[in-house]
Amino acid sequence: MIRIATLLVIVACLTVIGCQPPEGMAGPTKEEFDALKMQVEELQTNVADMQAAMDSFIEQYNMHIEKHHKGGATVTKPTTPSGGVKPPTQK
Amino acid sequence: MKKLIGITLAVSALLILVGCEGEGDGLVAPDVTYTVTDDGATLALEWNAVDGADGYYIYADGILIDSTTGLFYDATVPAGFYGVAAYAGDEESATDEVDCTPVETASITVYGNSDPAPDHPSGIGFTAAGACVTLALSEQTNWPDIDFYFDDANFAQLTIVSPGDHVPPYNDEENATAASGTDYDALEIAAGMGNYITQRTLAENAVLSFWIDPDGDGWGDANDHFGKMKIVSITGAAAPYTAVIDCAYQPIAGLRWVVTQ
Repeated sequence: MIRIATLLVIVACLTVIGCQPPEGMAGPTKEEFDALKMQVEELQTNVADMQAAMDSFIEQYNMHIEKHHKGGATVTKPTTPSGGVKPPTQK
Repeated sequence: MKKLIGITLAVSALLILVGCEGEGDGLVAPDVTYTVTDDGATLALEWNAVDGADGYYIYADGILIDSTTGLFYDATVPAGFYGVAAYAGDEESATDEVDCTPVETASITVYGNSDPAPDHPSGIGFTAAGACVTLALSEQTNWPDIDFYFDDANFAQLTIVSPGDHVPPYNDEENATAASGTDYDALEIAAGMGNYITQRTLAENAVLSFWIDPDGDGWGDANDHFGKMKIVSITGAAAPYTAVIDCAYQPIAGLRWVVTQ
């Protein structure tokens, strides 16, 4: 009886040990997720800062052109790309 | 008794003959057909000879404008309806009319293509019946039906562009517009050949003639259609712009008449 009980305990222990995932296969940990999230947020902030800097630069450039170079060509803010357009046809 | 029956029959026969007099003898309306000539400026009317007719009256929008003894008439003044009636002395037949009125669609809202939202369509197309419908460029199934699209992504200002000019093209059509003043109803005939371009910057209150040329091979095809467009409003200080337009589309292939009053 004791032998059977011992065997059952051993089987249970082996099952628990056998079900453990191999090292490195358990997926990212919560800490790793948090770090990744922070990196993404940092990138988003950088893109927004760059966009704002670009808008500011364009505005300042256009102001400068209008003030000091009458009739000079100003630039427009870039818009969402949608493919191109070929030259028009007169008919 | 026999005499009475005979008199009754004779009177009945006389009444029937008198009652039927005129039926089938009056002038019937001519059957009018047409062809479009003169680069879409003229509607050449033709009709069959009507028995007993002295000549034919020509009506434009219900007003008698001319008469002829011939079987054809070149209508060069744009109108909504042209009609022909046969006449003999004071008698006149019913009028057979050709409907030249354009199909009007008012208050169409379109969005510059820098706004990619599917519920903000940037394309328009004309149905077989001539109604103008908006079409989202993001739906590739719409591309074959696009007659024009509104571009503020490749241009600083809102620009109407032929679908064949886009890279890659939405379809192969070479449709174009021509500047035609600012009075929508005053424009009764779309601009002539040589005044059209496949890309045009839009301005508020501008009136444009448009030419749907699916084959891109000039005037004369059965699938060439003309019309006019009013740019009612353009909103937005910069892209994305929104525009409201009115359109009138001439269903008769090749005809440039666009009378809307």
